[in-house]
Amino acid sequence: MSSVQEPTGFVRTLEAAGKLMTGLSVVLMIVLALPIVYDALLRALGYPTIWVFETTLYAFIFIGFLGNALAVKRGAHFRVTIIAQLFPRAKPALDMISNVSVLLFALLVISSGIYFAWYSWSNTISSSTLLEVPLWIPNLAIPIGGLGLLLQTIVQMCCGMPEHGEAGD
Amino acid sequence: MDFIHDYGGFIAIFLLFFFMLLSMPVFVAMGLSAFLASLLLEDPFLAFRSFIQISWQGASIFELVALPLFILTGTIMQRTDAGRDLFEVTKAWAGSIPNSLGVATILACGIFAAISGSSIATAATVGLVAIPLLLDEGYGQRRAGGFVAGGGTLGIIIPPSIPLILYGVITETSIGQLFIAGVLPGILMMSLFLLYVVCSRPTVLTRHEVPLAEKLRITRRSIGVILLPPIIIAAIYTGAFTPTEVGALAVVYVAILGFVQRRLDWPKLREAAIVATATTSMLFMLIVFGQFFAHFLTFEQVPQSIAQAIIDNASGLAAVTLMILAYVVMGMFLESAAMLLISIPIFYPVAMQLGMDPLVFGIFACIAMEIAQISPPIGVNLFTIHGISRIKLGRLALGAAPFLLIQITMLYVVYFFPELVLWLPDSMK
Amino acid sequence: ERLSISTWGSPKHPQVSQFIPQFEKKLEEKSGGKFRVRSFQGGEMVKQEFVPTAIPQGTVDISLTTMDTWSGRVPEVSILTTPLWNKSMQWTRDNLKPGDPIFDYFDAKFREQGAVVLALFDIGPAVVSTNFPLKTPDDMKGKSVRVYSRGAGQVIQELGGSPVTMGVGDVYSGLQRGTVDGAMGGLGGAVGLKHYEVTDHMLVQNGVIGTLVHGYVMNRDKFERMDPELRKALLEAVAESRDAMQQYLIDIYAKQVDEVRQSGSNVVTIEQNSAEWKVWEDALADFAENARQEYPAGLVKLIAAD
Ligand code: NA
Ligand code: NA
Repeated sequence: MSSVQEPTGFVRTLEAAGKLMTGLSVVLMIVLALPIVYDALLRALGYPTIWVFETTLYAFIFIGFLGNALAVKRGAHFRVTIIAQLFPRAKPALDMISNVSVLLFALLVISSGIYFAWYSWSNTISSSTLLEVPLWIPNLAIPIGGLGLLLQTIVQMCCGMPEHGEAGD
Repeated sequence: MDFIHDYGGFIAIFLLFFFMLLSMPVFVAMGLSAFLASLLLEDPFLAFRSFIQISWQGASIFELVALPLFILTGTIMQRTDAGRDLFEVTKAWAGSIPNSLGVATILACGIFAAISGSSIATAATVGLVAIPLLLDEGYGQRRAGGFVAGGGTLGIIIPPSIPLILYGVITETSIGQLFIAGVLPGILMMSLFLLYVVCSRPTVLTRHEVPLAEKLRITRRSIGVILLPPIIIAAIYTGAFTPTEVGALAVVYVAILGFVQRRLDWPKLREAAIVATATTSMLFMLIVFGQFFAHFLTFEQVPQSIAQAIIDNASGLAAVTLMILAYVVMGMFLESAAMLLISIPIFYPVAMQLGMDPLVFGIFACIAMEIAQISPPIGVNLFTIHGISRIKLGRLALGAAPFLLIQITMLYVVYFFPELVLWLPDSMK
Repeated sequence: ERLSISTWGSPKHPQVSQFIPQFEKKLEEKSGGKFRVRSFQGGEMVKQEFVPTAIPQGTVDISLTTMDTWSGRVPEVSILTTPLWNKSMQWTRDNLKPGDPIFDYFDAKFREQGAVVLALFDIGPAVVSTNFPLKTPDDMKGKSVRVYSRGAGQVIQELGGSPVTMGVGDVYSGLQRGTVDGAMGGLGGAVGLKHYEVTDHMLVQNGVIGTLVHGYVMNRDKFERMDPELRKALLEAVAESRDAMQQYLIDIYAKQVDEVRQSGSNVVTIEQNSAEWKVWEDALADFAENARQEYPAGLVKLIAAD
């Protein structure tokens, strides 16, 4: 489990999906500040926009959920590893428990996220603001992010886990 | 059935700690424990719908947008040698007082803290530059590492501050006011740190006599970075911009400054954004599912009953001491954001019952987070310094211990002298 | 029967403080103690903007709500923020109850969405606290004004101002620092948060540019599955507490306006059907006409008829 193995074709596909999500969230991260600065300056001049507030919030939500693939890959999600440090022999079993719990949780996030987006879509719910954004669009960030969590964790289980906090691209 | 209803919240707390011990990621432990406990109490489909409804409510909070912005500001600055610039400046001005390089280290941490919202970033940025020099001058590993680990905690009390953003979001307290509330306690804490560093033994008396002209030259060279902290604090203090807007302006400012100084290029910006995205996602998941956990506890009226029990049985001082003890113990094992998300829903009602102002308790909790970051065995600042310097964790923990004592003292100071926290934000009104 | 009740905003606002304790007491009396109520304040369970999904999903059983936040699900509610809604608080007190055609119209729409309207009430016409003299619609041109809802934003836009979205907690400092030139919102909030400390003028418009209709709504499945006896007790308890709260809101409105006046703020009042009233009405005439076209004719007629 802990030794790094050569990725198979299947794993490569999963990794590619993870990279796509990572790419999207990183691009959003780079541009996120721009509309906020634009809005702040316009407001200072007396012309506030009505779209920045909401769209940047949704962009942030996408960064948060889609960034999961990256966060898993970099071991950024915080774990308490005290037992594994005290009993190094238990580490493989604990890693397995941890990974399986993440998979289960990812399934919960994906299924409930799909349900939520479907609920917004089938009831044609939009935000009660001047922008009237159909809510299923930002809702979709949840199942997609859950999918990233799932896929990248499977990759991790196949190829070994990064050390906590280790940076590797 | 009634038994389960009465203790559903406590079942969730038990599951949370059990899951965390099994080394599940903390956000998974929070989400799963509350979800499983709610399955015991409710119709499964209702539990499923509430899970996603509450999680979504916890995600769509505009104030949270400030998080990625301040994180990105920090990661960009790390890649533009800001740490070196700052340290050059503080080193030039610290002069000939005892332990002057240590003093320069704490000062550099304090200035970087006013740009970055994270103590890890502060410790890492300053540490990379300062630790090798401190070792060269004979401070020894324990003190060299300890100064940076301890000084780094200033990152979250001097604004901007990620934990204060989280606290503001959870308790619906004004983040701008929280930031301003952190200024004076932050300066006091930095002064106490400086006092300790100057007095620490054995004294290192290497002289850094720099002529005034040279001091000014070095300062001018780094003026872009030096100006940022007062601009950030002034922008928030005057209310000209919201904390989120200040974060966005800071990102644009440091990016432009980096490009103009030719220290930043696209690959470095991309790398900064990648690190910021991973950190944001980590925090985001903690926030979303931490709030789900907290809502479940609130629904089961756990915080209310704990607050009542503490108030009925303890005086103010005893209750505060109890909270401090709980924080010190939790801080041994938990990372600060997780600790904040678990503790605030429970302790906030207690603090309000004790008559603490929401701003005062925010600063109190923030200092408690600092303790978590430098107390062994799990102290992220210790890990960070270990990562960049390979100094042994045990030595780092010893080196940081005096800072920890200062922080515990500060917790009582904040409780007994709330004016220290409230004076500046009150003067905003 | 377990019942969870959620409110948001200040727990001191009469819509909470004059309702929840009474409602709990009456529920206890009328049901013979058969309800186990848990109530949550200040948005600790469900925040204002999430009520329209949280109630149909059953996250909590009953919640305070503004009608306007439902516009994303029941577009018709927005008519309450147009000039077509020209009812006084007194009218609402006496008429906007179960059995009234307008009440029942909305209740039916909400039921399609999985919610039951238990009560509707008017917390009073919105006031505009400003740092510029505001007497006529022209004064609004080019000014940035914080609004509380989509409907209020449309009105400000129509008058030539720029609506700004801003959390309730930031309004005070926003007004003080000039981030916005003014703020539109409930009188209770404006007084409770002392907006008069940081503004020089307040417009009391008595409804010509909108009032604030709020309500208590309940999860439909929970409502329908409830024992009929208990449901009856619940409805009676709601109705009585609502009437008392609405009366309290009417009584306190003039007192709160006085409080603002005594603080030294320049209060401008637009009396119903006065010449000034007519000026504001005319400024919004096109807007009203559009609304008349946009909303279902049946509903427009119901409102005009009463
Ligand atoms: Na900071
Ligand atoms: Na710790």
